[in-house]
Amino acid sequence: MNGFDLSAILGRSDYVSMLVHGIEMTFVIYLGSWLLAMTLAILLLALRMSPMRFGEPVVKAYVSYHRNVPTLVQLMLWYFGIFTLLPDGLTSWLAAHNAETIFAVIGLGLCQAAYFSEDLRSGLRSVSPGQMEAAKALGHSYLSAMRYIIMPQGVRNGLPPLINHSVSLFKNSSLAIVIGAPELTHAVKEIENLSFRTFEIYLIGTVLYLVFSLLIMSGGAYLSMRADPMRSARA
Amino acid sequence: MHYIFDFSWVWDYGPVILKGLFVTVELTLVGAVAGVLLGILCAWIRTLGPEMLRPPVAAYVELIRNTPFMIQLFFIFFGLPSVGVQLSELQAANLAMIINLGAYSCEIIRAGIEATPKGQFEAGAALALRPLQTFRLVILVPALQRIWPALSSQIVIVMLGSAVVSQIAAEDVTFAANFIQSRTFRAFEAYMLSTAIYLLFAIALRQLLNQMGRWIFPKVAAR
Repeated sequence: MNGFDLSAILGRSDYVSMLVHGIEMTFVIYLGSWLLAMTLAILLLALRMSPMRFGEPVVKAYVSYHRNVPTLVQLMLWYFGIFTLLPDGLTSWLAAHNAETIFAVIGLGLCQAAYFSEDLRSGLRSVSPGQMEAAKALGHSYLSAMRYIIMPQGVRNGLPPLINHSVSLFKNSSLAIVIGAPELTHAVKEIENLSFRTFEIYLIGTVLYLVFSLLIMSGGAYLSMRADPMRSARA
Repeated sequence: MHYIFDFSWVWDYGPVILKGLFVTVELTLVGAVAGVLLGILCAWIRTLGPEMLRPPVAAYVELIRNTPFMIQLFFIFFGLPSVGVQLSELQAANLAMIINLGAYSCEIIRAGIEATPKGQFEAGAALALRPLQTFRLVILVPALQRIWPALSSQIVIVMLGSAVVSQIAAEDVTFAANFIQSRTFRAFEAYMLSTAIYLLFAIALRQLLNQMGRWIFPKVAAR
C-alpha cells in the first residue's frame, strides 16, 4: 500500500461530490425519521395515557418489540419482507421513488418512536401530581393545565435522554446501507471500492460522523440550557 | 395480497441458524465481559487514575460514542489491514464490540463512581487501604450496584448492535437470515424468524442481567 495520503480522496472532485451527496441523504433520512419518530412518540404517549383499556398493552408491545429487535433486522424486515408483500401498484411506485430511502425513514422512524415515547413518558412522570392539582385549583382546565403547566416541565425533564436518542438516531442512519439507501456510509463504501484508499476513506467517514453528532449534541445542550428557567438565577 | 407463508425450509437450514445463534451469543458474552472490564479501567483512569492518561481516554470515549458502530466495524475490518493488522471476521467483530461497549460503559461506570460520597474515600484511607485497594474494595462495587440497570440495558443494546457484524460476513443470526433468504427466496419468513430469535434472546438477556444484579449485590435488594 502506498503511504497515507488524504488528498488522494479529498483532492478529487468526483469523490468529494459523492461524499457531499452522501451527507445530504444522511440528513434527509435523519430528519425524516426524526420527525416521524417524534410524531408517533406523541401519539403513542397519548394512547398510553388515554383511558382506553387496550392503549397500555398495545403501546407496551410496540415499545418492547422495537427495543428488543436489532434496528438492522427491522430495516431488513421492512425492505426485503414487507416491501414485497405490498400490492403491485404501490411496489412499483415505491421502486420508482427511492424505495430504499423511504423504507429507511419508515424503519428508523418507527423504531426510534419507541425510545422517544419512553423518554417523554419518563419526563412527564417526573412532574409531581401536585402540579396538576395546583393548576386545577388556579382554574386551569385539564387541557390548559397540560399545555401551560405539565408539558413544559415534562418535556424539559425528558430532554437529556431525548437528545441522547437523537444522536443515536443519527448514528443509526448508517444502518440504511444494508438496504442500499445512498447515504454517507454507502458513499464511503463506494469510494473505498473505487479508490482502494481504505484507511483514508474510513478515517474521513469517521471524522464526518464525529463532527455531525458532536454538532447535534451541542445543539441539544444549548437547547436544554435555554429551556432551563433557572438559568438566569444560576448564572 | 395472497401471501402463503412457507416455513418448510427451517429444518434444512437448522444448522445454519444454530451456528448463527452460537456466534451471536459468543459475541455478546465476550463483548459484555471484556467491554465492561475495559469500561472499568477507563472509568478508573478518568476519575482516580493518572492525570496524563485522562485526555486520551476522554478522546477515545467521545470518538466511539459519536460515530456509528458500522463505521467502527468497517474501520477495524477493512481499514486496519492497510496498516498491516489483519483480523478474521470474528476477531474484528469481537474487537469492535469490546471497544464500543468499553466507551459506553466507561461513561456509565464513571457516573456511578462520581456519585460515591466523598466519605467513602476518606473511610478507605482511614482504614489504611492503598488507593487502588480503596477503589477495588470500597468504591467499585457500590458504584456498579448503583448503575447496574443502565449497564444492563447498554449490554442489551450492544447485543442488538451485533446484528451489524453480518455486514463483514461474520456468521451471526442476521447473516444466517440473509443466507437463507438468498437460497430460498423466503425473505419475509427468514427475517421474521431472526426477529423472533433476537426478541427472545434480548428479553432473556434482560432477565438474566436483572437476576445477576440481585445475585451479585444481594444486600441492596434486601434493603
